[in-house]
Amino acid sequence: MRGNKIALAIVSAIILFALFPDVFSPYDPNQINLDRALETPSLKHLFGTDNFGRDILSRVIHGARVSFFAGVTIAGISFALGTLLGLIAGYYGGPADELVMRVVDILLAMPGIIIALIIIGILGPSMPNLVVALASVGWVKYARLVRGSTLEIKEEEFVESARALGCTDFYILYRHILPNVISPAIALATLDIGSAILHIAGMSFLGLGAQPPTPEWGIMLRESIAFMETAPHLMIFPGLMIFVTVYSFNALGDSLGSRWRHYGTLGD
Amino acid sequence: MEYLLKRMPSAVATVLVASFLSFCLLYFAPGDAAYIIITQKLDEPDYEAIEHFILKNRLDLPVLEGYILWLSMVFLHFDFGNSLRTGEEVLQEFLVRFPATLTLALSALLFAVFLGITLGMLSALKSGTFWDSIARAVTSAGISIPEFWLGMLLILLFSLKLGILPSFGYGSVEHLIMPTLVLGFHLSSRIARVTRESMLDVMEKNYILAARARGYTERRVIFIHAFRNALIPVATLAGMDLGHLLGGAVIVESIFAWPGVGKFMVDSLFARDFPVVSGFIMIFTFFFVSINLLVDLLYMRINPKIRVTWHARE
Repeated sequence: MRGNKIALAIVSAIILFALFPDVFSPYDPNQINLDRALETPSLKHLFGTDNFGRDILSRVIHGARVSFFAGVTIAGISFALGTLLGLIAGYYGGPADELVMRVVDILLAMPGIIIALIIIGILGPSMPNLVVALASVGWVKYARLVRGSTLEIKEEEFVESARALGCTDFYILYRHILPNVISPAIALATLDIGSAILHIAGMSFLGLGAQPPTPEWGIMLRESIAFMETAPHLMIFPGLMIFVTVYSFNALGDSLGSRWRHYGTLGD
Repeated sequence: MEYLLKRMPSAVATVLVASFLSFCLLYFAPGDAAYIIITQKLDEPDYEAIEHFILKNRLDLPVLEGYILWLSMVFLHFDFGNSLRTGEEVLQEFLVRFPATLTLALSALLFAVFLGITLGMLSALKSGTFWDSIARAVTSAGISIPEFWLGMLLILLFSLKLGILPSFGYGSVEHLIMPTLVLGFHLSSRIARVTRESMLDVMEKNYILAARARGYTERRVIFIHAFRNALIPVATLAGMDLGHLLGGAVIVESIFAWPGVGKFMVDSLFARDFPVVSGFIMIFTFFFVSINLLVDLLYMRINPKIRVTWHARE
């Protein structure tokens, strides 16, 4: 599909921006130059400059670094924690299952944003705390997903034969069950990077995430509100960047998801 | 009824645990409520006033004692305590702001269900065509666009450039339009996706083939036979999301200065106003748990199969 190739290209570009922002950005993202404040886009400053005369293109590129690494960390922690707990709950059942699922129920009983807000309120607003807050709600989806497939897989004959051969629980979980339950979780993680980036921007926009002068997309948008009427280019580019990034991660996650779902039906 | 009784203990436990967690966590959080609030009021720390404030609001109690006192007041007198900042009753603060939040949530839900089902049906019935691609592009955009950015774009267009809608505030239908669009668009995309999947799924069922074989018109097959069955997952999603719209509209409320509960809760969190935060969370959790129970019951009404499985498990 052509759409997926474009999404892949955009995601690759974002990763490159995140890894080597200095190679791509024409200026220092925090270089203040009040003589050139609020300039509209030109050849010199492709996306224009903000109220401090900082180059918006450079800030947007450096913003990719903040959002991408935080998004990957959140999705990564959620994925690892959720998969582990899901495996344990599904495989052992009994009290372990009860405990995990009760916690899941409680976390699902409130909207994630409220829980994240509480955690931020307690720890104080900063980027690492935001990552902790979002990851501590994020693992729930993985736990449910993995637990469900583990419950099915553990009834399969190959698991029974492995057990009859005297394999340890750890070996069975690692070699027989994990490979069979992990694909949908990986697709979910790809989708999750997108939604984590969206949440990071939203919380930073509220003042609950990254703090100025970090070049972060949500903060840039927050700061642009005052200049909405006089200099709308301040809000157009960071927002567009979030939109395009999240859109691409979602498209990629969707195509991974449907590919694995397809294999799943072929195997039946 | 039996089902309801079975589900009750776990629902009550959820509410209790959630309230206990929020109460404890805020209690142990760094930053002293009394200090912050008094310093804000007087512009400088006055230790006598702080001492007085602590004793007056019973902030000197150990956490467990404080919690039990608070919980017993909640259950015996429906009293959530008073806000440390405003001095008003927490329940009163909630009730004053709740209509605004509820209005926005319901209008966003209505918009989302309407747009979502339309897009989803279009996508499913014209699957693989140009219309399907358009509908899917719109839903992907809806899922990916940051709410606050969409809100700002709408304000830029309709308030600043065209001048036809007020950019913030509350009170008239015009004020409701932009927040509804912003809050509803994301949800409508998710509803559209579920509708599409569910409709495609249902259309392959044997009873659709049977209905066609009986020579019913395509319209009747789609709207009477398929649509009603495809709606079940859509109803669950919409029901669960009503809960999320009530609590999660924080960002939209703050962009459009909508005087709802979400905004007030965030402000209280920063001021370490425990009674408000704990009370609001308690009320929220109560709502979510009740809505989930209601959705489940509704589910059993519209889908007899689930009713049967439930009884078979007994």
